Amino acid sequence: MVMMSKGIVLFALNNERVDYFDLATFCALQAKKHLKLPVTIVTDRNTYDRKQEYFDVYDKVIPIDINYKHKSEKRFQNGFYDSVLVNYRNNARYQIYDLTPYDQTLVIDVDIIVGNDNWLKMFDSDEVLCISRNSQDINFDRGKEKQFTYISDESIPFYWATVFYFKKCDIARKFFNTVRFVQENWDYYRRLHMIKSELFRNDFAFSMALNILSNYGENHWWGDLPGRIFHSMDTDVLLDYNDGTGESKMLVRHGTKKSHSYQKIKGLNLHIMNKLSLQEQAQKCLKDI
Amino acid sequence: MSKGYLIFAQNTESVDYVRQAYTQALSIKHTQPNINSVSLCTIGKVDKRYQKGFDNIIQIPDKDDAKDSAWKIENRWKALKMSPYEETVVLDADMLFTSNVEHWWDNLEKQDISFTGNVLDYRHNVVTDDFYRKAFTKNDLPNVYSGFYYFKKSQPTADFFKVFQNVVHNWGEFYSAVCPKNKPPRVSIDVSAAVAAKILGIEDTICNTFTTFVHMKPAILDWEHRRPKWYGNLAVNLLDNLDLVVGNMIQQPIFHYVESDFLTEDMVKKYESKVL
Repeated sequence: MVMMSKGIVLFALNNERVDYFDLATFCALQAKKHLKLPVTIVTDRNTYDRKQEYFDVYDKVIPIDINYKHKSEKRFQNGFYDSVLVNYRNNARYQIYDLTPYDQTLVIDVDIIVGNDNWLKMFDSDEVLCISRNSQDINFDRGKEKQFTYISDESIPFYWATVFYFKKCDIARKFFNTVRFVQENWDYYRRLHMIKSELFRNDFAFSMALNILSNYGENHWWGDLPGRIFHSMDTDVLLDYNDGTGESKMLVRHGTKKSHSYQKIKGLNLHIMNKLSLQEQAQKCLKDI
Repeated sequence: MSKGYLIFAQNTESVDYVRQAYTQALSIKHTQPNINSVSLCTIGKVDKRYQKGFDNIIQIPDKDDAKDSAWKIENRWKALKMSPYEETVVLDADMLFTSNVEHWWDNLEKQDISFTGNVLDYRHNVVTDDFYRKAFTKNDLPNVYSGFYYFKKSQPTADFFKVFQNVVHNWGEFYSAVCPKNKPPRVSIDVSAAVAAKILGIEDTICNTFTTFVHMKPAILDWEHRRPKWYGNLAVNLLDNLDLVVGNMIQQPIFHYVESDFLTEDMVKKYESKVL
């Protein structure tokens, strides 16, 4: 039996406000702790030149050139009262098939705090692609966000490109080629799916590619991620992360109300949408390494 | 035992229901390899073009109960006496079959009469919204959809149709007695069938759990922003192989389009060129 290489790949494309490489390094440390797999990082050349101090964390560091074809300005919310407009650089994801050094790859967004080993199960499965449709809000009272159910009010089911697993094979290659095709024709596809924003989103492109490759939803050939991904919203704030205990302390907003509650979270795979508050905690932890 | 589909279609000034029934008949011929006999129930002469789609064209007997009606549904209680089949599925005209559902017949024949009890939205979620069904939920009526229902010729079926006829003819009194809450302002075949089932004490068995169709009434499409019409708000694509894609989702097994402007002449021609 041929042994297949296994590993994790992270993307870190910095912008003027968020140091994704720092987030990635923080994420890599948690991922290595819980999943015990090698981690490769893909980053833009500028960041590559400036971040060599952290290269030891990684199995491989892969620099890439990025072209920004689409509108990329996005407002990042930092809790309820603060926000900043930044260039959102997310258009290299489809290249993963060619970039990964592994036969079996888990891609994790760097704004995720890995808190358990649930995702290891995929490496022993027969699935060629695992991707999640459901994510649980850490505020159970907030109700399911419609924006995470369908890619637009009228269109197809929403899938998260936040975490996914694939095995190198023709089907996976076809999938990422389709994501690239959607990305290259983004204006057409966003209109087809009645998406008002011009901003390219990997979640949407992945959802559209699955739609295309399933004959418009007829054949569901991919697997789901084991376990659940929990997410906070960008109006929530990560107040503290304890590297020793793995505990996150969050200020969680109550739906449309202005009140917040305080929540402690541990042992979950947690998607922190407020990248600015995650960055603060990540940089605090990185000071110690 | 002979099996087939029965479609009632009486044209109004604004809607050509026979054309809809004809296209549905072609969709049945296209998708159902064995059980694909279709009978049209109508009044008056049927256009030559449309005659080709049907195995039988049957004139609605007796007095036209729908003569002064906008929806032309009042003759539907005559289905039992008009059907040329031992086993019949009755359909609304404004539907298209998009995949093979012949396996349903194996289960349907286990009952004398069986209605669809659940419908889907175009993203294939089971519809739970009772926006159009308050009379059912508020009065504990079985959730019957007469857009697709089955009966076999038998005494229990005859008993049902007798009560059903009575309810359709005297809907105001029956609705007041059996479904006073959110009482429908006009006769409804779904409500009348549900009332008949309740009167006969078969409300727990009248609906099956396996027949279904995509129902395109706009308020039950799981849209945050409800609109008065779905057509014009979703991309529609009838592919060359007659797969139907709406809102970028393939439509299966049966598509109940509801809004008559959906059925364009191009679509009808596409069915004709593939089926005839």
